[in-house]
Amino acid sequence: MSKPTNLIQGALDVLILKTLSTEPKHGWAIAKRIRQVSQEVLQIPQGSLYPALHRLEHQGWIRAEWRETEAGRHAKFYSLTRAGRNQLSSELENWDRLSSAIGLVLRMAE
Amino acid sequence: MRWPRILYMRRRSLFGRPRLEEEMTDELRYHLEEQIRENLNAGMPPDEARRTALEEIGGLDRVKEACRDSRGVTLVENAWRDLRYAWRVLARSPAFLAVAVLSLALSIGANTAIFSFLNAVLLKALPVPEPHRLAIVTRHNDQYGWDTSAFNYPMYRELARRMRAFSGVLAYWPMPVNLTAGNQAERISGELVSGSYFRVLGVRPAIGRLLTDDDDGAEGGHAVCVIGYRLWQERFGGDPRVLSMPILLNAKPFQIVGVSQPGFEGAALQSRHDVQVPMSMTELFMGEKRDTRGWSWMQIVARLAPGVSRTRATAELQAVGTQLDAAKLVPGIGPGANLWKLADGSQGVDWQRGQLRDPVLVLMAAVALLLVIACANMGSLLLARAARRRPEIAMRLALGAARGRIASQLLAESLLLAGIGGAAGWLLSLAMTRLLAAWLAAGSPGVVFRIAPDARVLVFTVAVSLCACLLYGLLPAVQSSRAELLDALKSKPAGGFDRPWARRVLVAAQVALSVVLLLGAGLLARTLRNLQTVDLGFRTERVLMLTVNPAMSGYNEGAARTFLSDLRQRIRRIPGVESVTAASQALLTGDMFAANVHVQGHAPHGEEPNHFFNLVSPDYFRTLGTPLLFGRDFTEADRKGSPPVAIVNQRFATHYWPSGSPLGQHFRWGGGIDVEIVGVVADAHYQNVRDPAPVTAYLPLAQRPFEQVTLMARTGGNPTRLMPLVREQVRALDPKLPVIRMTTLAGQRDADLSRERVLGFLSGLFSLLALLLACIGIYGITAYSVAARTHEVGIRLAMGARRSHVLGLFVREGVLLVALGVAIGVPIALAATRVLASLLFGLPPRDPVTFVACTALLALAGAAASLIPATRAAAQDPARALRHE
Repeated sequence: MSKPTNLIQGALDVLILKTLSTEPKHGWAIAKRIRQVSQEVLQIPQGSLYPALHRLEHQGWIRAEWRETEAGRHAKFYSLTRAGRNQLSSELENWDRLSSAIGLVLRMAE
Repeated sequence: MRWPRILYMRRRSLFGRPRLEEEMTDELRYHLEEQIRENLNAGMPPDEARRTALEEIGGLDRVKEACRDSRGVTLVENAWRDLRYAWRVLARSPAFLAVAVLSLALSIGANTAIFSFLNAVLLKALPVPEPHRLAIVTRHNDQYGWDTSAFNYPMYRELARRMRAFSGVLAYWPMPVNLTAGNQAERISGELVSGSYFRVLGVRPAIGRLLTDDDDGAEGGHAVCVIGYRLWQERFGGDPRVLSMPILLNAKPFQIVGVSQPGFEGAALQSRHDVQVPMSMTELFMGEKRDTRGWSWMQIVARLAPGVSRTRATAELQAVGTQLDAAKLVPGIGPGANLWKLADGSQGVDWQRGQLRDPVLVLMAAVALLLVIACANMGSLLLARAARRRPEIAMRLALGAARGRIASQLLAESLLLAGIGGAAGWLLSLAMTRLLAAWLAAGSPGVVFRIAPDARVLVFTVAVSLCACLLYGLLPAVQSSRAELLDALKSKPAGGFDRPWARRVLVAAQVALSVVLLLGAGLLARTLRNLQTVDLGFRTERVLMLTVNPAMSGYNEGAARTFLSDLRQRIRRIPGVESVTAASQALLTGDMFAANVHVQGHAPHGEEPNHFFNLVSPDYFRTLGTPLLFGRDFTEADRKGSPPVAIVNQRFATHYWPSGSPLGQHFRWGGGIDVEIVGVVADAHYQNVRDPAPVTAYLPLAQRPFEQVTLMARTGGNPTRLMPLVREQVRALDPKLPVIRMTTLAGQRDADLSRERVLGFLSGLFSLLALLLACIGIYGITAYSVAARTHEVGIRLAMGARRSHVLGLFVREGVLLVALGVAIGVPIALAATRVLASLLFGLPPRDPVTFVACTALLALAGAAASLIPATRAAAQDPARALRHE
């Protein structure tokens, strides 16, 4: 396992929002999904994931409810609120702008 | 969408704590179990699977704490914890708590009470829709140089017809009314109103209908009226059958057509008018026809059309008004241009704002100063506490407490004090405002102050409490959280003294501000004293006054005369009554009767004075104690049909006959009635205490028609004791005749001075509170010095220093602070007392006597305050003092 990449907080938030954009998930599934999709590059430490979830819920971007999992267990599911959906799209725009800007600078430096 | 959710979350974070904690545990446990399951699936042995999972999660409690932090409630939670802690700390020093809460409650209460007044007098508006669109029409005449807001009825009709900038115009005049319902008569306050009145104001009926233009049609034909909601409730028990109940207004049958909406009590904010009668009935109440052109009497209020500014409306009014002036709508108005104006009408036709603006602002400034002084006092008390708690705070800092948390804990104490002080102050203010309103209203009958606190007052109190808290709490909090750790830890509790510069500055500031308050109060107190001792030209002691109006109860002139002479005789027979007289104008009530005077051969020189008149019975001057200088008093022989005579006062005599005797001279007054002067009396005040005696002429009451009349009786003993007997005599003559006013002349003088008395008393009270607080400050700082220098004093005493020397050492410190404060305060006071000029009487704003007396008082009080701890220092046993650590 490679050393997990350090994530700045804003990036973690947008990853969580993106992951939740398809369907509601519980914390474990969110971490797993991010790990899978990033091909094991992004490992979210639990110590960051749950505070981030609570913070996002507190800010009104996501909401939480207790539901049965497929395995029939009780778990806390998070889903996007409408405000969260708007937030995600503006964050994505920001991200595109930022990453292309960074790309420009890095290429120039070569 | 997002905010409700956030608020919901916050509330849940705050109050749903136990459930939230449980959920958090469940959530993390689920994660942990999933991780373990995955590890097991990956082929790990059970304990390794569990260990790796726990490692990865990195400590459950740390994650939980991080979650809690990210919910962002710690701030509120900490604040709550700080407040509880602060309460425990404060409860441990009840003496400090008591002094702090008391001084805050008094100063915040005083601020709230005065603000309630300021709110009522300056800020509140009539309870009608969009009161700020109301404007009062006035007119300024160039030639005569006076403003008038009295107009005749045709002027109202023309303005209503021609003005485009007004969406409506109403005319109004207040009047006393005798209301008889069933067999009970009482005197209430009413209004003669134009038909447009209710429509323009935007008032709705509670039951029935309101008056319309139809009610204000042909003169005399509309005996209808609308009564106020409060009268309906109080007098008629809210009975809807009131609409068919026969009532009498001034002895004439009227029909009540409706009751106006609750809260509306007439067109003047600070008074209560219980009945509105259409102007078509003017003659019944005023003795003149409504449409009389030569009679300017009523006031006009306009409602500006939507979106029209007062400036724009004034411009149009000037144009229309000039046309109306040119059309000679008011006969007899002089040449010269009229400047038409619109005054703010949001409080309706009310003169309380003009009367009370200055006193209320002065009092507001005084209580604001008092609050600052109280804050300075609190600040210095808190600094002293902080100094005592330095070792404790240093210890906590050393143990790792954040400086911010320490500061916020100290601030919480201040906040708690402000909260308790503010709440207590609010309660106190309710009582204070009621007292204040009662006092002030005593001087102006019919005035009802709208002092009930509203949202604005509440916001004010909360804001003032918070500002106070910041003012006194910030410095100590910041100072002690900044404490140098090592220094603070080293110093032992008893030896933790420093040079309390901050506290000295605060005490000096307290003294300086107290100087300002004391001087202001001193000036106002001396003003009151001057007014109370001014020579009025008559003796106010032991005179009873009784005012009745037989004409309003349907008496014709002959019947009224018989009634008056019967009543005079009956009162004279009451044991203890020395003499009885009657006058058309009651002294010192603001009643006034003025007319032009023409003296043959007199060439006007300079500004011609106003001539005041009074119709009086024989014995008037003897009863009041006004010396008759020349000639004779009126007698019973001066009656209708006998030659018209007059008695003039000295100013009148010297104005027209500077040399030579006025006796036997004639003058013509009013419409040209010729009278002969038969006597000259000393000058006497007339309308009020403040204005000097005017040029006055007295005419026999028996020779002129009269309506309202005041009987005055000089008594051997306390006149109040005779009041029930006098009332009995009135009832014996006519049980249905209401007594309009029964008081004593001295009581009337006090009522006339009610504004000055309230101002003098309150400013005195506030300045004494300020003085007390300043003394507490001086006492505190001296006591602190004494404690700090106990050891040094012990050495001095042991070396043979005299006790008086030690005494002087500490008293000097207190006196120096006072001197510093006075040096700062006096220039401020010199500048500040200038605003009092309009309120003073008989002394300049820089009255040296007051200045010297007040500073001497302050110096004495300061010395006394420092003397107490200083005596303790000087009296101590040197041996013991030396052992003191």
